[in-house]
Amino acid sequence: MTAIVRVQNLSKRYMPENVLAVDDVSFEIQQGEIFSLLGPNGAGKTTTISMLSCLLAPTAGDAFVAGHSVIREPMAVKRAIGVVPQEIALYNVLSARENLVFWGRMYGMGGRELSRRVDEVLQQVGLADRAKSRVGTFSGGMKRRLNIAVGLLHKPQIVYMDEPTVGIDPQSRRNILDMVKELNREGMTVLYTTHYMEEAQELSHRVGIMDHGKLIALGTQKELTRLVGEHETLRLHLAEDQAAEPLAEALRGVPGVVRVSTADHEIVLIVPEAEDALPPVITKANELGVKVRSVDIQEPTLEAVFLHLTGRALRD
Amino acid sequence: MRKILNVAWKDLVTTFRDPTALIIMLAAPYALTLVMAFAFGGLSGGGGGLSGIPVFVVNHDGGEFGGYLQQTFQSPDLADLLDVTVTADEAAARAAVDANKAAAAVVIPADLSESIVPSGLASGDPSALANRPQAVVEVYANPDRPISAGIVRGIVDQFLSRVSAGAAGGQVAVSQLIASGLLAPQEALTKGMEIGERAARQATETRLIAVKGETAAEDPQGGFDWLTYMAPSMAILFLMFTVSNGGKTLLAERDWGTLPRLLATPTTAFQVLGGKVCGIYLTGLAQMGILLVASRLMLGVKYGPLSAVVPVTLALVAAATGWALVLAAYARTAGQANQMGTILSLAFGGLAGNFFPRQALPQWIRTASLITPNAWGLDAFNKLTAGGTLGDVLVPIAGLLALAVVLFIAASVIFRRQYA
Ligand SMILES: Nc1ncnc2c1ncn2[C@@H]1O[C@H](COP(=O)(O)OP(=O)(O)OP(=O)(O)O)[C@@H](O)[C@H]1O
Ligand SMILES: [Mg+2]
Repeated sequence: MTAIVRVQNLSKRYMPENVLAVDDVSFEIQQGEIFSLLGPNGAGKTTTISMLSCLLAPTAGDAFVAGHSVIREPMAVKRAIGVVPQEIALYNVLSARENLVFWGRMYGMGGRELSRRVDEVLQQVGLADRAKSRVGTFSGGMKRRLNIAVGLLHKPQIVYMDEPTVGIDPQSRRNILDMVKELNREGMTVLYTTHYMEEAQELSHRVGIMDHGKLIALGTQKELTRLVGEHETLRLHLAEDQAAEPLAEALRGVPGVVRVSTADHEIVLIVPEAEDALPPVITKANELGVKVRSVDIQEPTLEAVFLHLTGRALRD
Repeated sequence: MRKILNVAWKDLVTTFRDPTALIIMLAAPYALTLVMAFAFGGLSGGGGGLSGIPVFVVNHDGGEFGGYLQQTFQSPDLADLLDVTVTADEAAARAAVDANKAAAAVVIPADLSESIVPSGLASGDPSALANRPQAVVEVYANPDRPISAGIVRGIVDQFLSRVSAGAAGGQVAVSQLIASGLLAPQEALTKGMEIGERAARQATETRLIAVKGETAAEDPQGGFDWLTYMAPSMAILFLMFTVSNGGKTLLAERDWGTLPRLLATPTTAFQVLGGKVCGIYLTGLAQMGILLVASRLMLGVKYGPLSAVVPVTLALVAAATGWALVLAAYARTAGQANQMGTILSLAFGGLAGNFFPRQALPQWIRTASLITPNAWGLDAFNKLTAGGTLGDVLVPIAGLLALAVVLFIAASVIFRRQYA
């Protein structure tokens, strides 16, 4: 296996705000894998991708893409990468096809080759029948797909996808996830960022977990969940009118409960053995008069890993 | 270079697909040209085109000068422009104008020649000069055809000012020559004119003959042609709107996320910026081109030779683009650029005289307005519509180019300070 991206002690401090958005991050992405950066809002995912796209100069460290330094050889790096920005970056008054032709030319493509590739990627993202429509008339999901298509046009060695499923309906999201998997099966290396644990879990070969600019864990899902130990996740769903916080507070004192976090009307517990922990937890709920609607017991997930490492839920 | 043009072409296409932009670029200036020309100049359509203007000439003058004026109207030079009917029936001529069958009737009074060179002069009577009559050549104009009637009045005006300037200077000399016996009275007329022509250059200003205008809507600006002034003026005014809108897109692309995406392609920042600049320039040029052609074809505004109009337009759009870049460099957000662009465009319009004849503005405003492309552009177009050629507009062209250079440099300095 060869590393297509090597990130070495990369840091970014935004001035004059003096925000350390990326803090001494190192990792490698192997050819042919889907590598996810998983982290909550503001973790530093986009900042990392921007440095790997040569849009932001690193404050410290360096990164190499296809063997080229992002600091010293930005043009070579840009030729090697396809970028799918977090914000949809398309021209609304141009048609899907015109957008693709425009962006293809920016990658130095032209003539028949470009027009053939445009047809191919339109097919790939399922927009062939809407090629002539203006992007302004597209739904959010269609725009997202075209946004991805632009990143694939010039057959890059690696494509960066920055939260490509934000703000779209479940069906479009499904669509995009399947597309990413299909792309990867055809050999495309993908750097994927998300704050959805499920997406990282479904797609990635390896995951880097980011929080407050730091890469706090890195590995395959197996490797990561092992960090949580043999523990299991107990998820309590409360009734709509129930406040989670008082019960969560009380549960922190229950023996055997490793971690407690709350989200909306949910309480997530990390415990060594769910069956042993459940009776005292329910007792506590009854004591406080909190109605528990249902209970899930899960094998450790990436969310549990995040919770374990930070003491916070991924989605706050 | 291909990438620069790719960006520029994209911007041009994008702008021309935006209905709001099209209104501001093309519809608004065209409509305003008509509105302003109508409000101030009394234009109300039915201009009848600018060839074959029907004119009646009624010559009551038995002398030389009535004949000259009549011949002026019948000269081969004006044969295409005018369709002249000479008649002795003044009432019929006026009726033709009233019935909208003619743009104007020119009524030459019986005493025209007498008022220029009194017959007493020929018989050696010096008091003839003092006692000569005041003659009035009347242009009975059709209010429905202000442009055509304006042309007729212009011809009469030009003829009379030439003759009267010459005569005024010549009369003194001629009467002295006759008195001293050096000049035969029968030669007086030709000799007088000859001397007069020379004397006219030394600025003798007694207007002996007046042109009496009779139009329903009196024109306060005299012979000022509002349409010819407003057509280029509104084009220039709205050119500033267009280019500042183009400058705004530089910031808007950042908001749309397309600017970072452009910079993530293997393209230098210089190429991206160059593309944007070319886009603004091409859009402005397209707008000016369309407006000039439209006003030429549909309103009959004459801009003079292409060899002069093209360089003026190229330089004008360059200077306007310069301002757009300064604006884009200075503004922090697209919204701010938009506001500043509107204010700047209107302020420049006011300063330079886009709404109001530039000639009527105080000198200090006219001087201050030289920082605007509008002022130089208006000057150039005024010279061209008045019959100027490339040689007459070299100064405005140089002014526009100098402005463009200074503004491009200023913009790059501000850009560097903002983004480096
Ligand atoms: N241009 C900037 N100037 C100053 N601070 C910034 C800038 N961009 C991002 N930040 C800050 O840097 C941190 C990391 O931001 P970043 O956008 O990289 O996070 P992210 O993981 O992509 O988050 P999200 O999931 O919301 O996209 C945040 O605290 C953010 O507020
Ligand atoms: Mg982000």
